[in-house]
Amino acid sequence: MELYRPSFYIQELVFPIFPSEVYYFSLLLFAFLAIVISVIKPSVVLNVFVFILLAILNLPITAYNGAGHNNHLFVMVFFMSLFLLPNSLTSKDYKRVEYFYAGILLTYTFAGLWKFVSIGKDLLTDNPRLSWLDIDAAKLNTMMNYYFADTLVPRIIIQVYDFKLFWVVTTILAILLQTLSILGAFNRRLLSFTMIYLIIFHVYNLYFVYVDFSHAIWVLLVTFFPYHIFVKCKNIVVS
Amino acid sequence: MKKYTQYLFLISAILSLYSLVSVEKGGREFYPFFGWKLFTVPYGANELESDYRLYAIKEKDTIRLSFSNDETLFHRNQKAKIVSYYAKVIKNGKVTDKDMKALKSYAKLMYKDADEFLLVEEQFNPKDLCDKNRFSFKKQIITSIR
Repeated sequence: MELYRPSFYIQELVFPIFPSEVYYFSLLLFAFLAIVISVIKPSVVLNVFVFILLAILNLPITAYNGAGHNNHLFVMVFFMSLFLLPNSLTSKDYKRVEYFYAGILLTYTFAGLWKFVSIGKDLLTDNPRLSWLDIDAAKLNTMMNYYFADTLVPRIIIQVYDFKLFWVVTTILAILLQTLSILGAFNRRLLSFTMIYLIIFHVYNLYFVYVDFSHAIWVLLVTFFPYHIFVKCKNIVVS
Repeated sequence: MKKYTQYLFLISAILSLYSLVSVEKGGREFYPFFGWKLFTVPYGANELESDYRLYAIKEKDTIRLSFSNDETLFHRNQKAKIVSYYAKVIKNGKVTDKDMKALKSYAKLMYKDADEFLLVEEQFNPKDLCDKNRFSFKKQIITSIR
């Protein structure tokens, strides 16, 4: 299709034109087979193969004149777990798994940190631009996102924003928790809490900001779920 | 091999930082898959925001084509990106015949039997969205497509 316009160099290489169904589905089939084989007989080479295929498969989804970041978390999980093979992990390898968690949570920490940097800059430079500290910041964010999508804001959402001070405090608290996400990687209990918080954050975004990050909710749930509470294994702490 | 996980973490951290700096400087995002929507300031933080929409003209009736209407072909985000991409290309004067043809076929997909299409820039103050029940925007026609 003539509207298709790749924006990454990788896209130009793999999908210079909009992929045909046969091409796309054969890639899907390859990825599926590679995943099945890697479950039966795990190997790093296969992991690399799966990661590259999944990354490529996610490309054309948002390839119209600019890239979104759909599914980046999903692809990233496969990147960070390249060297973790379930059959060779013992309980003393938990350190490695913590780095795997940390790599994923780092994206949230950076996103939070950068908001603080921006708030600091606005405070210091007397910028007329609004920052997250302002009283209607969260509401404005909601209104704009709905407006750009040409969708009416549900009445209940506007009413919830009447509690103005509550939203100032919540916003700052939310950014703070987002920034501290990475600490969860190094403490299993904190990790469960971080998982719950981030899921709430994404659910808020889904309804209040009208941004669809529902895939991220699933990725978080599968990756950080406290399996150890429900499955007791002798030798394997991580799963 | 499993010990390399911590190097992956390090590589990821360095590439992310590099991306942050390069985006801040107005460059391209270097680390494509693992970026995130930053939202460093609330959406609509500036006093004047620009937005682009296609209008269809049909028998002296002008219809604003909304992004959320019928998302079977394109998601609303894709529509927004497509329309704003062509609007910016035309404003910069870098538009080619191929671009105009693509824009026209997109417009036809959105509204089949229009006599003419207008590509319009809408400027407004986002605070009005918050404070007032109704608000006005300044319209400027960027191009007309027949």
